[in-house]
Amino acid sequence: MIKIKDLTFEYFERDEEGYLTDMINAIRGINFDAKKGQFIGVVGKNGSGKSTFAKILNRLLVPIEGTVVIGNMDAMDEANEQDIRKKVGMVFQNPDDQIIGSVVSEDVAFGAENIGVTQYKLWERVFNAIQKAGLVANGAKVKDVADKRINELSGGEKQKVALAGVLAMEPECIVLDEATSMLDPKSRWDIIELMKELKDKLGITVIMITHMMDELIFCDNIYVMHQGKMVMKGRQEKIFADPEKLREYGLECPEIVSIKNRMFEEGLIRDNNIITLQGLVARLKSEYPLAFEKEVSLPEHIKTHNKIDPTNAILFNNVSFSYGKKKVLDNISFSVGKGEYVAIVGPTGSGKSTMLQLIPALLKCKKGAVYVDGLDVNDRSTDIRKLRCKIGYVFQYPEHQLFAKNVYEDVVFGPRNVGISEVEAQKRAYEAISLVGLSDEIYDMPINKLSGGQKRRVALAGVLAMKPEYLILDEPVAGLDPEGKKEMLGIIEALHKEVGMTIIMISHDIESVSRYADRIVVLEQGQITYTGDVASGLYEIWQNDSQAMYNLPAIMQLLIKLRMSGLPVDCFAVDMEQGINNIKRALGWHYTP
Amino acid sequence: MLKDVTIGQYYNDDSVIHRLDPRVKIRFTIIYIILLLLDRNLVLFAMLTAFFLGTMLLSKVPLAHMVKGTKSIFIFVIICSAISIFSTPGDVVAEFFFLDITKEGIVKFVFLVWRMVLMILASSIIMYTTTPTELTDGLEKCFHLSGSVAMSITIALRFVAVLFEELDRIMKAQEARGAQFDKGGPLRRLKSMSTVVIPLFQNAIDRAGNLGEAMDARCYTGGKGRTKLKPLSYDIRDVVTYIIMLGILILGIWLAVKW
Repeated sequence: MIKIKDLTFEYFERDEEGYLTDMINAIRGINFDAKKGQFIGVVGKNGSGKSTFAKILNRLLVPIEGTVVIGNMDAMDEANEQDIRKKVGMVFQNPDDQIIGSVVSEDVAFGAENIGVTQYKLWERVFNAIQKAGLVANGAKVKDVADKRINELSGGEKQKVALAGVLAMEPECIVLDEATSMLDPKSRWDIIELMKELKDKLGITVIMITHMMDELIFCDNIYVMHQGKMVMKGRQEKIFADPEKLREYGLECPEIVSIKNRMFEEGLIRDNNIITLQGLVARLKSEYPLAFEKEVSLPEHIKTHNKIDPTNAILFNNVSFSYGKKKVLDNISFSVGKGEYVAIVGPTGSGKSTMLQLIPALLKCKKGAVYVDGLDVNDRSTDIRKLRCKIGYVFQYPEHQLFAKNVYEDVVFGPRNVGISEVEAQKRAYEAISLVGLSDEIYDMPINKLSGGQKRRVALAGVLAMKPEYLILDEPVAGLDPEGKKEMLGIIEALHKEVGMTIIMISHDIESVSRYADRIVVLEQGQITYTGDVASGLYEIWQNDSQAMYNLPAIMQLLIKLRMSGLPVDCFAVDMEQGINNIKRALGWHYTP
Repeated sequence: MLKDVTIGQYYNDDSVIHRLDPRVKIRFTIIYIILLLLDRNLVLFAMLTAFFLGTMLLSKVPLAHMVKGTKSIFIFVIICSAISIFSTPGDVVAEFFFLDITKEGIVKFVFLVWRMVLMILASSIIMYTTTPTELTDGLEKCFHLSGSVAMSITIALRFVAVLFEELDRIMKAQEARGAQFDKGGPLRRLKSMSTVVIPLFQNAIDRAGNLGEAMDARCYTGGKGRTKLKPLSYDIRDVVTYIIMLGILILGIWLAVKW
């Protein structure tokens, strides 16, 4: 289907007068092969050149050197452009940036209209594509889905519309260019499973470009990119076998492989080639058949009281909130103590962001009250400015709110607003920039010269420069690659431990929640269904929605699966070491180190 | 607050008005606005109001939804029109500080507001009942626009809601950093608005780049050889509507001349 040899692509950078200032080798000497009906993964950290590579597959970019043959067509020849684009469909990262129509059917038809499909066939293709893209829920009618407005859809649904738009063109190959990176875990897995189905049923070649290694489980072949080169190639077993090397390339093994490696080191299992959860469970079962019982019941639902301490720093008292008629928060009460690290979890649209925006009075609650250090935030006598100095709020994708010409100017914006001296403001800005681990060389850098991860850290510094006591973060690691994510979480951890800030974080990223938070608050459909320790909370979510296994950290998934297969293991652990200890304990005398 | 703005957004339902050909709706709206501008005439206005209410009921778009989406514009209209209360010479009925309120002024004010409200509501009905694509298809035919101009309008309409959402978020983010948009002199306000407008534009430009790429990837080449999912074609109900339109036009002109 796709054959690429010695591919090279370069970007030219010019200054304002048009002189060549820099030549960036985006891609150097790549060889790549994809056979019909294969599922191929291309992984690499941000800036590794993987997106450039994706665009070459669809002839959005034309290589400088090399041969690119896509389904018997030479991609270097402009005459083949439209035919190549017909054959290779693309789904991009941001669902909002690729949908043209305002109604589902209009957008799905867009590509097919462009290639001149007749009207009668168009409707057939549109309905077909909507169905294949998994947009029609059980019991719903295709026609109703086709009539839906785009603005009413969630991110995951929008991404499926984009996929349907590609499917309506009946392509032979679909390239997903980080198409899952902005989605919540459920939508992410929906899309990945869907791609597997499309590959199996329709024989479509799937090329998935990503930085999340756990998404590669269905891949027949994986390519690892680093600094514009393909540095590794092979099946999953081969790629995952060398975590050290992957780390060098800014990538992380899937969690389950790390667990397996640890278990192998401990001598718990004697097979080092397992890469799936099921494989690991089966292996343990075959190595310790006597430790497994016929049936072990899962632990009961854990009902915990939502303990509210009225003396706590942040207190919600019977708060309700609605946008027009739509009720978003329904009688919520909870509290956060000084110095806590709290994670707020729950499905998209459950009201998490709304809830936290009430704290610095960015939204005003109509019923109930929110208190910060004993002061009602909606009271007229409360000084809003002082309140907002105390509470730092980092929005989702905060880098989209940077406005100044350079880093320093943006960071100093907050302190300048609060009426302190210029010298003091300056001092705060410098401190904040060093708190997020950026060097002083960066002060005069123009914003657009920074990498994505750097931009986000600058935005965080802009909030920290206000010297907040409480820091609220809305999806701080969304869209970051493993390296960026680790850095960001490290910074937040340091702010919590060393500076003593109270952290309240919304996150879909199970790993960041389970590894760092002291406590979680589960919000579902505008109501708090659980608050308490992380493991029990995540277990509670899973109990309520047994489909939502991906909401659990890998170690907990393993423990639950083991228990379901008959090993009486304590499944409340979110930490890998603790989890492995639980397994050892459950194996008892069967296991001798 | 900003999220409440619904003007220009399609209201998903199925009604006679929804199913009308966009060309009919566009022409009808234009005629309607011309009639509104024709004369300040109580009977004419009453007829046009009744006609609007009828259309609204047929369209199934709730009045509350329409008013919510256009509320902020009404306030603006009322404030602007209020000037006419004081500025029109005639019989003085009351005094307000040093300003005279005249009977003619009040009449003028009432008609001004009435006219503007009807204009806004009538033109919003077409937005609520027509998808942006249909609307641009209609505009393309009515005003002989080129395909790429029509496409730009479609996309612009699609992004109204997205940009409002983004504006709301950026404003909140800067407010969280102590920015105050409603305080200070005009210069200060302008300066604080720049912290919102710059990222908004930056994001819009980035978005435009991405969108262009996505359109390229889906074989868009400017409209040549493009087929249409919903090609425009006249139905019997469109013909009937054209006849009604003609009737109202004649009646309106007659009312304006006679009364």
